[in-house]
Amino acid sequence: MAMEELFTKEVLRWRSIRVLTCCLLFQLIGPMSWCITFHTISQGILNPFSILYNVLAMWLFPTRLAVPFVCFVVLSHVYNKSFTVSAWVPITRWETWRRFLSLSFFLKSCMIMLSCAFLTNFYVSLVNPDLPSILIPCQPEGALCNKRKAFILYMGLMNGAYYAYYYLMDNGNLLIPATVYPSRLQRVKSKISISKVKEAYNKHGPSMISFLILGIMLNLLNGKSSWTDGFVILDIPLMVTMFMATILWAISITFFNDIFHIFITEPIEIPLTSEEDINPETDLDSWRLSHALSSSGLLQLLAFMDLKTLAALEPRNFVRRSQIYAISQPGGHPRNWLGIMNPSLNLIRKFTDRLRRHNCPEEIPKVPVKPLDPSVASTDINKNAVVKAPTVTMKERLQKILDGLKKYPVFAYFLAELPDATNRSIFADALPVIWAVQAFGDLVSSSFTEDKYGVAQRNIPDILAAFLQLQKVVDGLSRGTISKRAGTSDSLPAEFKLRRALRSALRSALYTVTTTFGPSILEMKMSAEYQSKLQLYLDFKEG
Amino acid sequence: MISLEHLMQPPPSGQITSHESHGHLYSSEPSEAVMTTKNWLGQQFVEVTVGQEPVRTAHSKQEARDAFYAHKETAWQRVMFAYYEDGWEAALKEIMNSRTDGRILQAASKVASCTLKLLRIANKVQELLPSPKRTISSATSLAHGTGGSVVSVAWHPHTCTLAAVFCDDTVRVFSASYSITPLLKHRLQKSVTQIAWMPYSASQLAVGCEGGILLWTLDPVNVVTRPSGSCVMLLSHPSTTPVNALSWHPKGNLLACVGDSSSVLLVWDVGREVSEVAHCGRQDSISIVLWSPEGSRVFVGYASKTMRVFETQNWSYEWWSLDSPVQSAVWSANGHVLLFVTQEEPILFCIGFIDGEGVGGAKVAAQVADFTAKEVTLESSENVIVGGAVRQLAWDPRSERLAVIFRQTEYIALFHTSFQPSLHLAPGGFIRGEMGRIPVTASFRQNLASGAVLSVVWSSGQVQHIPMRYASREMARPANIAHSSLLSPHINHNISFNTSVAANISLVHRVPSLPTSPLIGGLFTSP
Repeated sequence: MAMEELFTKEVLRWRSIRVLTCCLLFQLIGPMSWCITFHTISQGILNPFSILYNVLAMWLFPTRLAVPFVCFVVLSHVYNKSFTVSAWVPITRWETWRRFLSLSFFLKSCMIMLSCAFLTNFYVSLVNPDLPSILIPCQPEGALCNKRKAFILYMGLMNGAYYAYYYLMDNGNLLIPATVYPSRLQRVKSKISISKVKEAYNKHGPSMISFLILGIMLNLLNGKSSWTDGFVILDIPLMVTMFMATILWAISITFFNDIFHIFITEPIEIPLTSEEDINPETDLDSWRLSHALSSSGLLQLLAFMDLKTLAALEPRNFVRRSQIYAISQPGGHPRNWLGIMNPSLNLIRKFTDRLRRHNCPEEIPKVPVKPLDPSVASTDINKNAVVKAPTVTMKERLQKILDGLKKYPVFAYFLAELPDATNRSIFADALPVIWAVQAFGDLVSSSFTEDKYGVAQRNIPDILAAFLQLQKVVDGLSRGTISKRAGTSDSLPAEFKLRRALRSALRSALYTVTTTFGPSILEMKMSAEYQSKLQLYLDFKEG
Repeated sequence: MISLEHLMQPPPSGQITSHESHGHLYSSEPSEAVMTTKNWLGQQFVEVTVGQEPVRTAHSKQEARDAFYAHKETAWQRVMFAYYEDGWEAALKEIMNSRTDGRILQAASKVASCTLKLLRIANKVQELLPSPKRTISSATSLAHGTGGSVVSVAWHPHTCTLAAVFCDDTVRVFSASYSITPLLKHRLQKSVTQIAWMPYSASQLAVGCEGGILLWTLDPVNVVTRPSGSCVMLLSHPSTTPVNALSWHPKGNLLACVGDSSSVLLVWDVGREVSEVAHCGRQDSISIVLWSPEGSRVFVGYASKTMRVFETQNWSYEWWSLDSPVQSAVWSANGHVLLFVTQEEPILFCIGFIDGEGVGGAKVAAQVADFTAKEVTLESSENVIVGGAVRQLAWDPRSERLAVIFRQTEYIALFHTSFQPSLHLAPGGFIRGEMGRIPVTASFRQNLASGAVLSVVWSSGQVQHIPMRYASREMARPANIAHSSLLSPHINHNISFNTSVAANISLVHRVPSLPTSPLIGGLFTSP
């Protein structure tokens, strides 16, 4: 079974089930209990035992959970299909519009909108059962009932549409792995606070203006009556109920989003070696760290997170790290080391090449056409090299046509590249690179004392060269766009933060290596340019 | 158990401690001591001076009333002035305090008392709502208001660079290799509580203050004396503003911080500007956070009578109940021993840790030194008081010298520490500054291959460096140290001084909690 498929089946599926369970529990304890309590009090029953009885009855017979269950299953499906680990940065305006007009966006938006509408209606029916449900048809003479129902439905759909746009177009689906991983309970607890409720309300909550506009718009669309009849629906019970329902919806959706992030991005520990090592003829796509590092998406990200964790110089990682420096018996091959080094250095070099190709194409060395001989190369670092498609001429023609169209203002508006967009899109993919840099900085420095057979130390020049090349390219980019004055409220987009994080990670990794090895690092076979750069690090003059 | 009686006599009046050589502290005249220090440190001597310009205390720390003499007022006048100066809450307090005056009716005092109680309840409710505008607690800002211009110092972990916090909430960076002294000043840099250099970086300095953490990036080869606002980045989280304390992960990629407004322990990934709540409890605010040197544990001291140590994989913790809140704590170089002092007891406590699953802390903290105030006779037959309540502990990076700074007395106690095979404290002596100067804070230089340099900030604002030259002991394997010392049932003799003075009282007990370590349970017992 392919590793990514295995990951989806064995890991992600169970994590999604845990997300659903957690959210349904939260529904019972939080919004639904609140709705029942509010409804009981609004009926004039102030006896706490009665309130408690109603709440307990709901907990013991949670048949009402069916609606939120269906809604969250649908949302979970959309989330699982849409989540991403790197922020989406459109290169041109046309790309934005293309995504917006795509069938996938339409279908996913519809699913989110319907889920949100049903969830809002569910809360309305709990808070005030007298109000009409969208599932039950009104009596033929009930014009007010129809108006109220339309109001509830459209309010839910409108909130869902806003949320769908945020989620699918505004990088709401971006998974940002946490800094540290305390227990799940602790992380969930930290997401339930008054400040979080306030944040949820501010982000997705309703506003009075949206109520008014929607009320009037609905009435205007219903052309038979005069516009003043629109205010009929603005009765106090409906307004209060809708306000409460949309707040509860905002809290629920924010909680679901947070919980999804918490569970899906949990770290995994992937073994360095497996049974296939003994019998190499078996499935090469087995559950191993080296294979996971060569994969893509969330699995690759979690694999680099695992690599970073095991490389950290903490005593608990010593046993696992010693496997990296081990050699195979018999044969004496540093299989584990090469297994993690090849995909990591490939990733760093590819990233450097992407940046170079866009910013300084003249610096890219001409690669000879002759393929590299694996027996000569110390490491198979070009294992994942992209094979160029034979349709280069077609691409060139298409590019020429597009360049021609860009001369016209209308087309230029859509097709012209947005400022710094390419660099931003490249840096959006920088997180695994950052972790690879951090991990190899630590692994190289721990090899100083732990690498008994010298398996890592012969590749130190390669690793340092990759770091220094990347640093040169990253430092060469203009810094103007990444600075933000301290104290300003707006935060930078994720890709800008990653750009800064990459610079910081590179420096820290190089300082870690130079501090550990001292001046002896200069004795390694490296170019004069890199030697002088390392000397700056040794002198702590590289800021 | 070692006590201050075992230390040698302090230097005589008129002399200050200049250096330590071969285990003995030497003193001389102030000018001569400075010359000695300069000669010893050579090119690495960092002089902390601010030139001609005066350093004024920040407005947030001074009050206009300080400029006037107190005079007698009637109770009503006091109430009225309190109302005009600090509002009606202060006026109510004044009414409550004036009950014995006779002029204020007892009833008015009772009403004021009740109103204040209601106000306190309202404030507690209000605390549930996040608010960025809070004042720094007295526990964390105690370094301020000592009268001197320099409040605290922090050595760079890898270079001969010293950052000094001044009483006007500015930070100046002094380096042995550069004559330029960058001045770090920002509109958000108010009520600075702690500064810390980022490890494995030449240029990043974190400043904990009222608005959050300001992360300054100082180019080491830049000649700018006043870095602009573009060199600073704000890391702010509602749970941890104002910042009480911060601590870098030894690798430098993570920064733990705690605030005055809640008991949240927050960890920042500084590069990505992403934070995560590592723990949020129901206790009082956290006053101290300290990452162990090998990065696997984090010590957290609460303003209440508890402290916790977290392991950094799953962030489970073990906690200890205390008789009074923790005042200061230090980790040993190997991260297996934690020394701490409380606010009220002049006792040095020690907790050992072993590697394995969980935190691995000992159940009971052992007393290893007694700092009770004592009268000592100098060579000049003059009697002076040494010891008392402790302000700060400072342990050198190799854990061979431990400096203890006291709150009231002028003398710093210095101990020689070693792990052969368990924690061993030997008397070093007393360090003294100029007459009448009390030590405010002290910090050891971090990047020395041998010996140590202790930088002491005196209440006059003067920063004195005390070089210590000694033969470094070969440190035993950390894991063996912890096991050999902590697994033994005869802990009283393991943590001892000269095999004669045993630590035979254990007062601080660990409270059983859910994430306990199965490895240490029952091995470290109270005698």
